[in-house]
Amino acid sequence: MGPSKTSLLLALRRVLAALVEFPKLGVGVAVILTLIVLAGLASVLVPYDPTSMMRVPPDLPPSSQHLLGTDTLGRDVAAQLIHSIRQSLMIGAMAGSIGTLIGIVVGFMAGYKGGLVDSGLRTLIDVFLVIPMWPLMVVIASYVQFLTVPVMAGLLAAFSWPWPARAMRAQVMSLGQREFVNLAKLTNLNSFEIAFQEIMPNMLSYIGANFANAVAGAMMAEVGLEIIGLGPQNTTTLGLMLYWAMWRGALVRGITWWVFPPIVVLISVFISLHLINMGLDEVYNPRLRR
Amino acid sequence: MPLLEVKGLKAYYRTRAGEVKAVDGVSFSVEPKEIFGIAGESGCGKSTLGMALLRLVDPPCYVEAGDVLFDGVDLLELDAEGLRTIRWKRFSYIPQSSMNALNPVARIGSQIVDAIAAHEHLSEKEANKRVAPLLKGVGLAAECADMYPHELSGGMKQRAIIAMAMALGPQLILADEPTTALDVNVQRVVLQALAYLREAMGVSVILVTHDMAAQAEIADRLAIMYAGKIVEVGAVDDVFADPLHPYTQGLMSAIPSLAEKRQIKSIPGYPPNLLDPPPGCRFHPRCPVAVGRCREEQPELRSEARGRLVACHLVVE
Amino acid sequence: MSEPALLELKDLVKVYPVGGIFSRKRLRAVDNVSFTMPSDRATIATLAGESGSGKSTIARIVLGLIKPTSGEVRYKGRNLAELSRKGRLAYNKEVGAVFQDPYGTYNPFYKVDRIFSKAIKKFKLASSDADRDKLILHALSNVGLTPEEVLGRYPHQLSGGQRQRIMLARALLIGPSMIVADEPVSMIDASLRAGILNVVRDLRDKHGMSCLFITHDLSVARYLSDSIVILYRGRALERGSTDLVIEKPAHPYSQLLIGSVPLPDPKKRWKERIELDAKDLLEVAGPVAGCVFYERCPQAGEKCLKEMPPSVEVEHDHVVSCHQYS
Repeated sequence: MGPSKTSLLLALRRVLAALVEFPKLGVGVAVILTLIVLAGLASVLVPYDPTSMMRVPPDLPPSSQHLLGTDTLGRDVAAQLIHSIRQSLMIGAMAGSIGTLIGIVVGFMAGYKGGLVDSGLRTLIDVFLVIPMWPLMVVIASYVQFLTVPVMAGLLAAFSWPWPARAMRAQVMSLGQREFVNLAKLTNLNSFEIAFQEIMPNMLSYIGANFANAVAGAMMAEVGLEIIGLGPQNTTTLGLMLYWAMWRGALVRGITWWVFPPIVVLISVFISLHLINMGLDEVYNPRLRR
Repeated sequence: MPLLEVKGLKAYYRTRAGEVKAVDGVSFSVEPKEIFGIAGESGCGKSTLGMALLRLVDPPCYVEAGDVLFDGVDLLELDAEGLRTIRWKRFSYIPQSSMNALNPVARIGSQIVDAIAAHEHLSEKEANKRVAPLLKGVGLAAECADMYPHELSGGMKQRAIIAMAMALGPQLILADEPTTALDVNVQRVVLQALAYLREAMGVSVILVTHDMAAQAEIADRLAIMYAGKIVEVGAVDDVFADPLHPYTQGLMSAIPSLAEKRQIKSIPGYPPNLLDPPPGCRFHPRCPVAVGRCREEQPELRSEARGRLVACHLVVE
Repeated sequence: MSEPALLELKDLVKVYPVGGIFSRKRLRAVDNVSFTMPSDRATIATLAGESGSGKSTIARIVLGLIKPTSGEVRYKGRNLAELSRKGRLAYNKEVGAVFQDPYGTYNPFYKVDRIFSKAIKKFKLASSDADRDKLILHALSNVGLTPEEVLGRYPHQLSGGQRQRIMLARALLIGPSMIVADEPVSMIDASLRAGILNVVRDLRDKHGMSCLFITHDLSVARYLSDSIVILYRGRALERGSTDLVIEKPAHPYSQLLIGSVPLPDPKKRWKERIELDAKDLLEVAGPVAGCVFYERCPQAGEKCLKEMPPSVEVEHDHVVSCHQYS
């Protein structure tokens, strides 16, 4: 038990120390973790389907019984919110992960190999960047028969990979000039080994920053689609809550407790992801530190 | 009377881990019209010493104690106004890698004029008249005034910096590693430019560099610094011909010479951690002739014959 | 037929395009350089020159990191450009490298032990962990380091001198026939260089390893090497036995260079003050028809501007490229 337990504790302590040393990172991680925990407990806290309508009297303001009140369709807002957080985060995380992964593969190949491979991939990245992403997604989403969570995640990932790819490529090119890469070449390491054993470990925090960015971007696009109704039909998400609320004119009628909670949660998500991004940037580039 | 007299100067870095005693009780003097060399390895504190003399140290570095008497006036006690009248006008400074500090979007001539205008009330026309002779003094053609820094080579930039430091006609210049990263021929030109300042204009120069050969070429007197303290001072001929301190002796045996093929060897061990320097003499862990007393008592810098100062128990009895 | 030379460079040329896309300017970093290193005995050959002389470029071409524009590099008779992939991998085992920057050669993410373990793994130098540890211990002791002081540490925890010694230990461990050392001590404190230089000497004297040593410091070249090549703007102006070239420099550039090296002896100071022109060290792109040193040469004549100077042997093992001697 000994060695693995102590090294895990040590790693944990180092991570905690890093979070304290970089307050932006610390705050961002704290907020996101809270939301993730909440999302994880969704089925425990709300063991029924929060989207089934008219379970409770509609349009009730917040009270001890319904912490965030109820909406016009007779659903507990707090229950919806918790499930929505879970679904939205899942979509964002999945899209961000896939997008970052594709970005890493493309970026590393382009940045390290150079030459024709780089030229080709760069053109591909630029084409994707130039296409107006959101209108295209709206078109595709409205044609898809069954918009489920994985399908949405895939769609968003398809458009979120170019940014990380570009960023990774630049960093890989720069790190590839370092002398230790030359030494690795002379030690007979092949391109894959150099890319993943020599260069990537020095980019971990940069990759993390890009991931946070990708998730934030994916969620922004996700909300953009959902708020016009193009969301997964079988569940509830933060964007969809807003969609229903707008459809029922909640704000005009004064049912503010239906509109503000998802907005507040979305803002916290974006701010904390952004803080994580900035914090990891500081970790990666010592010159940015105070 | 000496131009510069330093007594017991201490400059420490206050870090979370403790105090790094970068400069720990340094005393020396510089006469008018002389080139005074301060030599030592990296980490010995010579750069911090240079900055401390001109009160250019920033937190976490603080000047803890000591006097720096320039022409009788204590620089450490002066107010900001008084310091401005002396700094750059009478005592100027060429920091390390200063050739990289030139403004890339301004011509050399205008940068010199700026330096003059910041300290004296001269019209631009008058200030411009000073530029050509300054450049000539360092061996640069007058056309260089119209060039941008990227059009000049490393050696030319370094000489432009020297010209800037000379702009207000100081009596003393401190040059910190003015020849690093320069080619051999250019090093010679830069060192000769500094020597010329002393010859033709009567300026004193404090030459801070680890390059012993450079010191041998132009210094008049030489101080050897180790781990924040000065361990030996003397006329450059004497120090090279007959080094008294074991560290100086070690240094002399460690540098190859072009003129003769002789065996060289490094001083064993590594310079000490200035957060927690060894007790007694700081050099004793690496010293080939250390005795018990060296481990307990710090040696004082004392006079030997012929104007030499040495801090070693075994030399001065 | 005698054995082929250890290393032979023949008319090596490396040209870089400079300026924007439409610029026609070229920088001749290496301009027809030829020299040999013998295989019958271990020698240290120095490539000496100032910045812009092309010495580092030559080193990297020999290591295979840069491809030459034209000319040949032959190692033990085999042309580097014709090596197969397998041949190239084998070459990396036979020719070791030590670079100038003790900070940049280490991947900051890993402990320094990886320098050894990777080399051992990739070059198949040990069959068991015990063998591996023995190899590392042996290599470290040969460079004056103990395992306790360096193993298990990260690069930033060690001094520049220690890091360079580890690189030399790594080279020793791989057991090459030849090492290419690119300014290995120029970023180390002057007083700590001796130890590292002595290790390079031991590599030759005790381990029979030849070394191609790149430096701008002629005092170091004098101390270490058997033969020397003086480079200026990509061309070899003078070469031969180190003692001969340094004691009796024939080329005006060598004379200037050697005369400008500061001596650590206050009794032997420079006599004249040299004046360099305002444009003295700015780069001039494009090939030079005549002698590449023409603009700075105090003894230049008409012929020097138009015709490339021939290589003339002024004495045994001492060759100079200058019209004065033809």
